[in-house]
Amino acid sequence: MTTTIPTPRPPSIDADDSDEYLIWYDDKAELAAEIEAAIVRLGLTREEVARQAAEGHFEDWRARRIWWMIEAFGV
Amino acid sequence: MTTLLNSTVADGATVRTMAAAGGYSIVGTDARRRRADGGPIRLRTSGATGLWIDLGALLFEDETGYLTVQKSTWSVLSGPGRDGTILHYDYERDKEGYPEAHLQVVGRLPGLEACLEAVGRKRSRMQHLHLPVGGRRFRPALEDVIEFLIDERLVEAKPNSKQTLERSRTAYQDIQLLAAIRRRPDKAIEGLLDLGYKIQESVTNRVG
Repeated sequence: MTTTIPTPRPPSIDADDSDEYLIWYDDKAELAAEIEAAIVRLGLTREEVARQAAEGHFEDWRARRIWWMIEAFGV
Repeated sequence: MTTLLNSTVADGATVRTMAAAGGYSIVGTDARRRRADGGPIRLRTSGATGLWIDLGALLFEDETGYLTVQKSTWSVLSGPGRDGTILHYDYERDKEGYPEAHLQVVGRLPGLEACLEAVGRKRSRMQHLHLPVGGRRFRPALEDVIEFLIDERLVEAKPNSKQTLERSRTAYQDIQLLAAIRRRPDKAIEGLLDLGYKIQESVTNRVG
């Protein structure tokens, strides 16, 4: 038996990644406004969310998602 | 994820991807435009007490073009307000200070708290401990968490859920196995040689 190890290739886009499941933000300002609104709904400030991230423990699951958005999109 | 949840332990769940220019994207339960922070989704239960799951993942494309998880969390919550976190399986790539793949369980254990206080961690509780779970390549899959909830009768599973979970988990584990092989082809070759294969290196792989 002979096996050739092929050169890795990027995977194709998963079938579930259709437009129906994708929210694309062209406008970073829109995204920034969403994040600010989410922070207000949670009753926190951006600084408090950052503090919890630095400590490695979010007191509320919503704060984690908000922090990820700040990190991922740089807004 | 949407299909997996709705064919096993949820009805009408949505998991969407949020993306913008820059290379990162976030996958999350119940994410919607103008409400991107989303939230947990309710699971099917036979009891009156609500049980919820919150899924999130921060993804990026690595240097070789593979979609890669930077962080992920699978949280199980209880109560009508969705705010009673029971446990969460987390993955944080390149994390220092505790294991990349870990489980955190909310609870009070006086004996544990006494141990923590004795080493100067007076305010630490069970949920602050990061219990290791398999490392980067072999961490639990979402399918494992769903199966745990079914096996413990915390959720009411739909027919054929076990088969659905097994198929989905196998696909995930195959991806993880291939990723492990890409990082350690020497070990893959060693294993194949042990099985009697002969390895012929392709010309394209001799560079780099």
